[in-house]
Amino acid sequence: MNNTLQEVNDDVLMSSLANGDSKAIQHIYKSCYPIIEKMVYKMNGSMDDAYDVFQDSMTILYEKAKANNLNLSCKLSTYLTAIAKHLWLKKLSEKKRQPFAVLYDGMDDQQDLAQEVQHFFEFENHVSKLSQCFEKIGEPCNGLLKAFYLQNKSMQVIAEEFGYTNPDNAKTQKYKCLNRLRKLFFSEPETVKTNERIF
Amino acid sequence: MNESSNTYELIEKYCLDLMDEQEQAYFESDMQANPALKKAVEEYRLLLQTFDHAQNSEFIHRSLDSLHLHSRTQTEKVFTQLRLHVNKYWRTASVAASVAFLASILTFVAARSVYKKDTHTQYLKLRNEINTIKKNQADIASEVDHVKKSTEVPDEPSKYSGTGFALSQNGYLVTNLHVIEGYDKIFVFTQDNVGHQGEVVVTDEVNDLAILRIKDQNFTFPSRVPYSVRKANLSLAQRVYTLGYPKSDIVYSEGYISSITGFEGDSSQYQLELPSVPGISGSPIIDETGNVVGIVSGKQSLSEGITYAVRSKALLNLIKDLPMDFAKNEINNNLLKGQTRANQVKNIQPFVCVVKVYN
Repeated sequence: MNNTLQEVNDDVLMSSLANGDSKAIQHIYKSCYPIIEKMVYKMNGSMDDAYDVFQDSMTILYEKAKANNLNLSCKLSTYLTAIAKHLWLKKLSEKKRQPFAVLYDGMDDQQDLAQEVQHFFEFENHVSKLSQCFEKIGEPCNGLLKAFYLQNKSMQVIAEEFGYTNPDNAKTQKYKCLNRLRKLFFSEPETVKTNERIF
Repeated sequence: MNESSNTYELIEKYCLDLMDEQEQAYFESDMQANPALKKAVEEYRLLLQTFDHAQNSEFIHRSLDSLHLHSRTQTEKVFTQLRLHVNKYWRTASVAASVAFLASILTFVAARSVYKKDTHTQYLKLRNEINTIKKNQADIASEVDHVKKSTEVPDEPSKYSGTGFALSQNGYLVTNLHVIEGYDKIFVFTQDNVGHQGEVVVTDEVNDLAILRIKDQNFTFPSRVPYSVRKANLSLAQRVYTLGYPKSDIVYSEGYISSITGFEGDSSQYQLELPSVPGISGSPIIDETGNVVGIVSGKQSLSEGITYAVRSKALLNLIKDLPMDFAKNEINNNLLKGQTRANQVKNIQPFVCVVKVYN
């Protein structure tokens, strides 16, 4: 397996990842997943835990790549492993209800990593809250908002699908729906985290 | 704030950074003037970011799920799980392995020791047989000696034999009445295997006791009698021992008081848990400090270990009837107190004799 993995420049890899290149994702998966799986397993995790942690770490990396604000001070695989470690420790501490403590492991930007992980979990919470709001908002807003914001469909297509006479009407409806969603979202108390996904 | 779709379009445009500089400056000054607008913008931004995050997360999950499924073949998975299980259970496994190892070692040792024991007992048996042959030869030799030393001892074999023990230095001794039953001549053989003719002084049919005296006026035991005859009754489970002549050599055996009454509830006797063989009738029952507490009289026919002994109280009653030359205070003093069992036995041995009856 290692024979097919050629040394790829991390910057190239990051820019391909930002474009959602499946080859970049595959490369990172093949080079990093075994390390992270082993690490999580050694830290009392199961194989499923390892895969979850890897997916979340990749999400963080993908967002970083898209925002183009990652200045790597080390190899990409090292960075991803460190993120995964932080993520797993955080999940462990939530499971065991113990204070979250990260051992210093030679990385200089511990604080940054902790912030990244914190940020990630915040948005995970937001997403689960959002999915609850979508359940309450009802049609057509549910389908309309999902089509525009999550499935990236154009207003033209949406107008045809939902039977609006022109895209502008659909757009007006979309803003009304978004406003309702906003009110629902910010009036909701902090919800219990669920694993439901919007899709 | 005017909640028209136009405003929302502006907010979204601002959040997505799609405004040109002039537009942006104008909008920002609006936000400064209108806190509600500012709040709406912040909320919008968070919502849009959340949408974004959901989309990114979904994209990564989708891409990785197909990769994960494709790249991990079933065998690889099994192998990894196996490896991980080994990691997880190595403690348990190592404990089990060490227990198994210990068990096999123990089995080996046990098997070896059992095997050794077997050969050992076989060896003992063999030696026992040789001893018996030697013993028989010695018996023949000593019988020849008797004839030489004591012309009075009859040539024919004795009809009965039992055990007796000394009551005084000058030749009084006690045995069971049944030992001398139907006697014609009584011979008492001391430790040195010399026979002396004895005569009956007094008997007690009820308690199966007989006191004898060596006829020879010059006979004395080597010293005064070292043990005392104790009057007090014994308690259950007290340890006792005895010395007797079931064969041509003196035999020591020990046991305990198993019942304070004898055969069929006879209150003049004790029941002892003590190996008994024919020939030890009349042997002294001695407690741990060296007091004679009884005289062996019989055993239960059905069982091996149960022996009955006459209480020493009966013996003391009988002594009252003895002639004046019997020193009564001799058996009141115990010279064996505080000695080890082996020393006690060594000191008592000369005072225990074989009583043989001829008719």
